[in-house]
Amino acid sequence: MRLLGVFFKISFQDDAAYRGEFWMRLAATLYSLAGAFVGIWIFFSHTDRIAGWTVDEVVILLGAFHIVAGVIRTVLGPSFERIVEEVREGTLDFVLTKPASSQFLVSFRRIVSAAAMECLMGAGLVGYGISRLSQQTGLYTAFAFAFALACGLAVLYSFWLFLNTLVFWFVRIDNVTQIFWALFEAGRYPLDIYPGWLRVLVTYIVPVGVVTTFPAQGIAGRLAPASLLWYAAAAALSLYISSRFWRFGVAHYTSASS
Amino acid sequence: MIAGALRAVAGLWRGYKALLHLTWSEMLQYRAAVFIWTLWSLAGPIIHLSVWSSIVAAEGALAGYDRGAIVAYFVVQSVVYHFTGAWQVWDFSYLIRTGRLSARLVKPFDPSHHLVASNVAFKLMNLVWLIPIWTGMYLYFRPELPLGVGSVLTFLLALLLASVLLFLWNQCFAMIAFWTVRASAFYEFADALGYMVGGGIAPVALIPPALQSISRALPYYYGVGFPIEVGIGALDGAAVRAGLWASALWIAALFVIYRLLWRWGLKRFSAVGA
Repeated sequence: MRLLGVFFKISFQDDAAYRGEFWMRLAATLYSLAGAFVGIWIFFSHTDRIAGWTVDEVVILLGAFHIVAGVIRTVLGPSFERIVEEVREGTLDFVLTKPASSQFLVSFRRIVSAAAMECLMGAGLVGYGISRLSQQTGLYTAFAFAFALACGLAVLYSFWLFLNTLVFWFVRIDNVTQIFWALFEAGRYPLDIYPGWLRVLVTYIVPVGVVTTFPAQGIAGRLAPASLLWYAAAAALSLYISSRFWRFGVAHYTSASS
Repeated sequence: MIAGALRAVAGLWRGYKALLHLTWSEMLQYRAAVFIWTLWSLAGPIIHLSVWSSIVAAEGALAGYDRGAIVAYFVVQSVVYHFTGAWQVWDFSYLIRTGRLSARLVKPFDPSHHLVASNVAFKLMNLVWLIPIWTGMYLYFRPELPLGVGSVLTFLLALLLASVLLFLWNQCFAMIAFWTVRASAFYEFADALGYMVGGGIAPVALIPPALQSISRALPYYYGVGFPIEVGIGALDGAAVRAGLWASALWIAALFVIYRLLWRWGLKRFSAVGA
């Protein structure tokens, strides 16, 4: 935890040197948000429910989407980006020999704090959606939202770790993250709208859809306690598997120098 | 005079053969990345097809778009997106920023020919996997498309004009790179708006009137919405003719703007380089 604080501080100092970049990023994020709102406006000018979802629920879902996207852009994306380069150059050895968990180091060492704004905006959207929601948001629904979001992030994190562990066998995997982002776009809207094969793809194979749909369902009071338990189990299992796979990958890895 | 023109055309043809060969081998090096960009371009159409399908399933046909028309619209959209894609604003900014443009300028060719060839090579190479993907989409979604010879030829004409139009539009933004390193940011800004109001996330008939008037002020409708509507047979003969003329006018206007910007920019560039 203390290490995480240090990483954050370093990154903040890095970013503070490029303030123009910060404003550009802020403008771009606001612009894409405005675009998303216009999209929702267009859709809901013809209907008041999309596959059973009201406009407020879709706004909450969009908020969850931006929270998750923000986390990936802040932490996972930048940190994992370096592995590919380091395996190619053999400098990953320096990470592996450090006296902290290598999995922790590769996952969190590079933080782009400017991207965290997207999380704040996502949280703002969620708050706005909740305030307009007709039914009362109880303690349980708020908990269901937070819990489902945490589980979703854990699943997604495992997925990234798994994907990036593949680097030990296939050095050139930079492009794989592009596929991830293309599929991640599907998470902007409720999973219920997609045809069966696509829903299976973004639920079980590349778990991007569930990360946004489940929390939003939670706040709308449509997530039963039993499914929360299932979800927690899935998150724990995926964390375990990906962590084992990482250790297997490291063991398999022999650097350029050895 | 005719002989001179023929010689010029023959020279251009020889040059293009060489350039296409060159850019094709460049693409071949990055075929994995090229493939992934293609998959990217399918995400939007499939997502919006799903959104509109579920809206239409609940509300019935909207402005003439029933479920079949929605499916046809977004399947054709994936084809139109592919053929109208243009991205030289990034390449050109890079050439200017690194000064590599100078090397291109001494070749006996306008550097824009290289950009055209690279665009064409990319689109040709992608057909290798896009044709099976499109066939699969056609068989899976079963869109109702007018497949008569006349309709298909009109669609191909609209598609050709659309790709020239969006290429020139992009080319105008590329010229901004002579003045600022942020040319691509300007382009992305316009592009996000243009695709939203020009037929990207919804057929133009389905967007609110306020957005439709923005759409009329931009060339995007003729690069995105119009060729799709021609392809699915949503327009009558008069509307098709009017649209083709409007595309041609946009092309002429953008070409003039691009040439002017190119000439000014080049002067500026030589001043810096010398």
